Amino acid sequence: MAAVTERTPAASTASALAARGLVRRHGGRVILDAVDLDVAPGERLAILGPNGAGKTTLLEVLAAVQPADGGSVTPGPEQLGWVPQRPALYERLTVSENLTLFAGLAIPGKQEAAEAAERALDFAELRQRAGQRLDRLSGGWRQRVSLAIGLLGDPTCVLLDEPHTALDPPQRLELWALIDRLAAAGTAVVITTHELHAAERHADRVIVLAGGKIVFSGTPDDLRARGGDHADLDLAFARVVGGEPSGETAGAAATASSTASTAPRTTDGAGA
Amino acid sequence: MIGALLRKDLRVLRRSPALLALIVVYPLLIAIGLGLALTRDPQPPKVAIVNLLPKDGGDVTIAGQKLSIADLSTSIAGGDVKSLNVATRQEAVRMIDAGTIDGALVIPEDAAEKLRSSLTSGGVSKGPQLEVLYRSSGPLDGTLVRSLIASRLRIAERALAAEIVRVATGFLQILREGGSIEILGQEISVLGLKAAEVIVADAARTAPANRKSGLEQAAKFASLARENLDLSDDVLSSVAKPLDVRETAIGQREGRSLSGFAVGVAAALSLMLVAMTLGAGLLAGEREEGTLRRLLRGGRGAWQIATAKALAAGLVAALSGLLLLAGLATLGATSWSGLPFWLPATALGGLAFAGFGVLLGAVLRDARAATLAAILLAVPVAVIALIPPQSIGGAASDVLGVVSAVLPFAPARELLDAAVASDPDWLSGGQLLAQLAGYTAIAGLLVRRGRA
Repeated sequence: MAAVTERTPAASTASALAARGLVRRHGGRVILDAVDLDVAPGERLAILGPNGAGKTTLLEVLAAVQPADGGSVTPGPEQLGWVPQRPALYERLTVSENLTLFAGLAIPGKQEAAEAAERALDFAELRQRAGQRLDRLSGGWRQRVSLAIGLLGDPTCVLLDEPHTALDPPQRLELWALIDRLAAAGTAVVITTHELHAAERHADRVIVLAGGKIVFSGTPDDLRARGGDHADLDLAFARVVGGEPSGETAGAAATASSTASTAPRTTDGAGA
Repeated sequence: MIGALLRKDLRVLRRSPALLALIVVYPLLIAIGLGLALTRDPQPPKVAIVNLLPKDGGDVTIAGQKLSIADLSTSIAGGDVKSLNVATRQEAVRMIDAGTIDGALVIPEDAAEKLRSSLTSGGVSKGPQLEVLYRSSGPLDGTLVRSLIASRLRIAERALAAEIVRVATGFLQILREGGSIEILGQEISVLGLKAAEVIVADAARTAPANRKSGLEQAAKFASLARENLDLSDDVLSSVAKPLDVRETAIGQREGRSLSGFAVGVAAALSLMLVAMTLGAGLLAGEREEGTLRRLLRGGRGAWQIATAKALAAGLVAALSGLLLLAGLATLGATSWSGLPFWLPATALGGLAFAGFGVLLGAVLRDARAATLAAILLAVPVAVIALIPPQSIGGAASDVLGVVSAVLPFAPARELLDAAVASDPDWLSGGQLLAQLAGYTAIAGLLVRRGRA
């Protein structure tokens, strides 16, 4: 089926990213079921959900890597950065060559592309590794390069698909710090992750996706509140995914999932 | 986008030492193997001798010396030719058609008679005409046999001519100096011009005055004849060319040499393997590494990606093909004179094969499967192009013709064959360009459709 995603420039809205009624089907199965999403500039949004919930598909439809079967996304893909789960880089090229190549493909004008590559190199603190080939770098450094490529063209929002997979704890911390710095600079960040506790520490807002629908949207504290008397985050997540109502926040959660939309919230970087 | 991706692919290939070594070593190995094969002596061809001379009429006697035309067959056989006797010309033609023999030499029934007439007329009437038959349905046939028979015939002809000169000069020696010759079994003594001159001169001294003048004239004639016959040896040697040879090709000639054809096939095979495997691997590898999704984000550039891959693989393959041709030229298996034609021929051939490889990469998606498929497909693609359609016949021949026209091997082989012969072949070049455009267009569509 042909893609019917509508895309309009970000300048026409106040959101860094806005999606309406996103639908994606595969082999007769609904992967995304009318998903609405708004992300404010500088906001850090974590998308949680069990395996197969549709997290990666949602990110790839937002990034225009996959076509949608319905719905609209604002802005266009050229204003959205995408960092895939696997770094997806050229192993035999150096850090600098990878950045220059993708900058050249994404940004018109040789000079502009070269400047964008330099900025990304500096932001991701890759200057010292610029001349090294990717196949000689650790997973953490490769993920940094991937993030730097996602930043080319100064996107309004960067979409990161489980970037911490296969990283050791110090590398994860470094990557979170980089994400925090990015949001502080005003770029919205949407990140899919299985790391509930890290998401709680670093995200301004979390949504939980299950069966192609948003079943929870709120702050990390709202989610924790669903974890019973001990406010257990893991239990809260299991309850939300399982559709089990609980305690005082059950009503609020029910409201979020029934509308399958999220309310954008301006962030001041607090809670990072 | 195409330029950036092309530069990237060439840089990546340059940093793959094992692959680079293979690309350089592979054509050089083929060049060395083929070069040695083409520059070594071939197996002796089988040539039939069709001797139509009457059983007892194959000899020519000059001044009592016998010359045997039938002995020509002995001169032709041996060394670099294997000979066998065949009764009729038709039988020889049939055997050449069937591929049982490579060629034939026909000695006509009037050969002895014509040689005799030629010799007795002093070369005014023509000598016998021998006929060389050879198969020439393609460049693999004909050339070798023809040249071998021709060279053996030249040797035989020289031997016959030398024998004629030897006999004739001996006879002239007897005429000059005197001696004996055998005619019809009788030993006849010949006085000779020298002795005749002495006798006539003596007779002139003692002769009456009224006869003296005539005898002196006879003595002068004998002296002049003897002196001038001294020159006849050289004259005989220069005019002695007793045989005439006519060549008849069995089948249709293509006009290309055996070595040119072999070089064309080798270069096409080399281009095909390098270009198809690289083209398939480059595109499928891009998908496998996940980078294709980055490149395709937003639905952009599927056709440009396919084109960039075809260009990268095609140019590397062209380099490999040039190395092969240079290696063959260095070994003497082909001439350097075709050099200006090599570059466009290897480039066009390489690009079309690379386009086909990219199409395989788009279909199969997995890099290893695509590369393996490119290698496995190379053999049937070459075989289909090398089978002459007329050798199959019927609908299968038509199908083979269509398949061969769609695949790049036949036009690439023809273009390279022409390049080796320093000829431009615009038709094959155009066909390869059209194939490149077709393959990359389909590959682009498949890449775009498969991006999800």
